[in-house]
Amino acid sequence: MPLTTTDYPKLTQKLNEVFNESASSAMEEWIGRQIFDVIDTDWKIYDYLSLHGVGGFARVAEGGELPTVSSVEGDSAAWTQKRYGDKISVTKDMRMFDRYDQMTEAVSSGVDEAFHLVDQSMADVLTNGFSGTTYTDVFGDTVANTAVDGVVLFSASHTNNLNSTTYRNLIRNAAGTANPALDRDPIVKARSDARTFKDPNGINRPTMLDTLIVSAANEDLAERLVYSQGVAGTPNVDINPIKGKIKNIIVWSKLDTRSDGTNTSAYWFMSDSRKVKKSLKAPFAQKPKMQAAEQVTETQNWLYPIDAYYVIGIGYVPFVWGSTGAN
Amino acid sequence: MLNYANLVGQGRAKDIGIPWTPEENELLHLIVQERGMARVTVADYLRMGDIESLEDFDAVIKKGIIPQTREELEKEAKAKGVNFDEGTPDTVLAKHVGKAKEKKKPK
Repeated sequence: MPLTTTDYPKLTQKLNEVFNESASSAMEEWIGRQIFDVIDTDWKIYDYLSLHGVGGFARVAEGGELPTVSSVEGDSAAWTQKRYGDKISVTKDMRMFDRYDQMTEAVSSGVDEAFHLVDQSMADVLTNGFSGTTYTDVFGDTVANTAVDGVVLFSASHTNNLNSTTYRNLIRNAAGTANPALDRDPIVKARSDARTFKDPNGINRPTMLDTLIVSAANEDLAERLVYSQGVAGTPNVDINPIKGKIKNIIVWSKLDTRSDGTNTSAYWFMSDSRKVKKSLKAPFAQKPKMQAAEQVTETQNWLYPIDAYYVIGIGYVPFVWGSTGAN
Repeated sequence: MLNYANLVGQGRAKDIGIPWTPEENELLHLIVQERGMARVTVADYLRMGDIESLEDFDAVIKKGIIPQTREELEKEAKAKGVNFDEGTPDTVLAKHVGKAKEKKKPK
């Protein structure tokens, strides 16, 4: 039975093994990693810069000087790491009577919670990206839902640093109605809109929307729309052109209900799998990690802190598109 | 934190730390598109408040109302005894100056 401080290392090692096993399992369920750029960083303040169409590449006369590309055309932001965490308490009774089941359950449950909250915080970025300018995140913090251009994540009028042209990443259907329900028509329209995207210098830089991101409630509909041999819901023998174009359907159950309790199961999103991580950033100074017991309190509980440092930032956003599905 | 100095200077945010709401942003670009005016100019008009549609904007233009510069705003604030410093956002200062005006009306 681990009772004295000399037993710290032994129990810590045991619980760390449980932590690592649980973390490994939780990482597999962490859907947000598939679309957010989850990177490790040493910076407390992450300096982000997007260059959305630097116009410099030009014809050069013989002997002439190459034009210098300037970062002035881009937008920048600075995102500061925040710390999140809690403590797992191993009581003297647990140790006295070797109740390892309880200790390991406390650790694995704590780890699981940490990763699920991180994942929910990422899902909330998408589901809060349509209205207002801030929202309350899953941790109770008020955070901005604006991209680096100062405009709400999903908008018909995103701006740039060079001129007054705008671009959209708010899904519409062929009739031009924004926020359509998940269906074949708006998928086709969004793909077309994204492919004809022009940078601020007027150069077409096609975004290839090849990923559909849906709530658990929309899983069946999404799969029928994409995977059917023919066009879903029609009696004809037409082929289903989007079958090979949507390469991945991400079913993210944390999109079903936002952390403020709002039913957001009709919301759906599309992304360009090659570039979406340029839009959605989540630099981690430290992923959820358990430390050795930090103190023996007057209660003789041993406290194992679990903490993480990360921040979420919304960058240059033509690579992720969204709809509330309201229309 | 976004680069608000840049965004505000280009009419892409309402004020330092205050983005346009989605509705304001859509209206701003609608006016830019429909009336062929520069984004920074339209932004100055929208920062005055009380413009919620293209028609509201046209009415303001028809009346010949011109958005105050920061200098003019500070001068009026001082005249009305409104306390502020250099960091006070334009929209916040304008709001307080506006309130100070309203208080004087009943007299």
